[in-house]
Amino acid sequence: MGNVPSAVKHCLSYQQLLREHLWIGDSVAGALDPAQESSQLSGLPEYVKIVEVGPRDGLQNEKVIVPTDIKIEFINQLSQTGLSVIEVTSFVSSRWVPQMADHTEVMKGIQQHPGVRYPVLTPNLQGFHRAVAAGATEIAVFGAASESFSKKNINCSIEESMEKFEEVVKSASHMNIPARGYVSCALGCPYEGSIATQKVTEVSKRLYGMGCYEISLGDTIGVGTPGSMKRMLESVMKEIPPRALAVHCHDTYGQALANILTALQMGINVVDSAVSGLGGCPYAKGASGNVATEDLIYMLNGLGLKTGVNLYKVLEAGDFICKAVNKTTNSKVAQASFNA
Amino acid sequence: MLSEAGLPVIEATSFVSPKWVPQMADHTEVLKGIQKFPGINYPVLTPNFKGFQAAVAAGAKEVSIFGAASELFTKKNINCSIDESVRRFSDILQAARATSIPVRGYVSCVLGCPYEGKISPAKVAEVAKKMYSMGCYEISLGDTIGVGTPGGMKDMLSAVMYEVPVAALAVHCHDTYGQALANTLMALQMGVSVVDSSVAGLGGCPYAQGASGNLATEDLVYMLAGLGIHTGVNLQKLLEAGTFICQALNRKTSSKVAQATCKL
Repeated sequence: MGNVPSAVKHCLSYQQLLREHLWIGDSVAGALDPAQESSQLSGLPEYVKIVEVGPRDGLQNEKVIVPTDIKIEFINQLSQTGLSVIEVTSFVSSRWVPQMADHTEVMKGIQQHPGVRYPVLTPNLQGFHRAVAAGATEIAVFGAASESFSKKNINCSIEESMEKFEEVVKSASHMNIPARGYVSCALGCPYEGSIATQKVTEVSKRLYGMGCYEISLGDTIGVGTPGSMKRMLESVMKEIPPRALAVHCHDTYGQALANILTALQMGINVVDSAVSGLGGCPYAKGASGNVATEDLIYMLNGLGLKTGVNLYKVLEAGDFICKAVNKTTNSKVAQASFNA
Repeated sequence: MLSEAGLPVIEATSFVSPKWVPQMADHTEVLKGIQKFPGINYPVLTPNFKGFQAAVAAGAKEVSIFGAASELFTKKNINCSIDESVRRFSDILQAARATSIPVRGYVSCVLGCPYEGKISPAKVAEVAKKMYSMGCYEISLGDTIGVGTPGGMKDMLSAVMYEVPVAALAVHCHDTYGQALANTLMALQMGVSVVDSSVAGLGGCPYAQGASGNLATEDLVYMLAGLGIHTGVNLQKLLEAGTFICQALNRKTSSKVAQATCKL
């Protein structure tokens, strides 16, 4: 940059700048002002569904145990932003994930808005039954493309885990409960290093074949780059249609948005993210975790893609949870907007 | 340390009056004091002819000049119109030509201005074309306040590439809204092969208190390496340089790669 002007205080206030000139559309009012919309990049989907995983994947990786009422308030705030999917909690044993010990209370305590879905993780049949008893109407199962990761994470091989998930997904299907499948380590594993795209495809196909309506491909440790994202998606898309795929990028190495852009260019239109970029990385101390929903929405708005989500309301929810867990936001948009 | 990391170009300092930029008051000592590695360029900013002369006297072999695609930004920044600023540069360009010193041109506010808001791609193309035709060997297009997104980057580059060959273009993305790497990727997809970045993502944003600034070199190199694009840069040595300067400044790095690797 050149000289720093002393007349900075005369520049447009940031609120004004964002509102009038740049890519912060108010989704409640409808589409962006046509005069501001940039020409849509050809080949990109018109609408992108954002799956908000902050309350589950985000909080799960935060050290501070968040009180139940805060979790409920957080989710209630998210329900008013226009997000259509909010992952609420995980019906996993509290011995493994103490943060999610209050899964039943949270599931029962949230205000479920019409038009918003509230999936929960159910690692096994026991968790599934508890989830249904607590009022869950959508579930998710978590596989991995790495044997070592599967063994360390859930203490069984990929094949064994698939058998367990098949029970859950089939039970869900009998009750007309949709099931989403996650594939971890899609672009790299903290134990095995690089992961063959063929393996990711195999696991994805298995989950899709047993009845999962959507497969979320997770760059669990954020090591992927646009090239590896492209190669992995090319492989998976040979077996699974793009409309049934989602990407779940971690921002550990700052690559998340570039990887997501690549996925969008390849026809993927479902993206997972977490408000404020909640959640660190259990495999890299001090590293960041999920891509921040605010930063994702900023990019999608700028690209002229519809999301239905109100960025200002998401910023507010992010501000709320960061204050509650006493941490600085990982969202750059929030950092720029709140004059921290 | 940056020279040892294999970076081919390292912008050393700015020959600007210390009244405006106190941080660069020691420009002459710095330029004279650094070890100049063979094969590495050390351009310096020269906002006016006086600065250019001082830079040459201090041993500069490459200089940069700074224009903007916004009239208001130019007025607030250097107190004149775009046309007037371009006229002032022609003195530098003439003198540089006479002494065979390459000149790099920067265009600020290419994707948005803190005073005018939206900036038209046509205006960016006009300013870039002017600077290129006056003799700048390369034009670095700067998203000064980091507001751009990949679609806007594409539109802007399409307009500029109509007037300036892509081989002479560079992008300079700020990460104020976390969009820098995605915007840089878009630029690469359009054929741009020169990217500006700053180790540890140094520098904030004077227009947004608390916001981040430049794209972190470590994160950029990580992406390029993953894409199989050759840069000649040693990421490990780069990380060391980043750690060094952050410790010296007593600040945390803005590079995610550094945060993930340093296990703080």
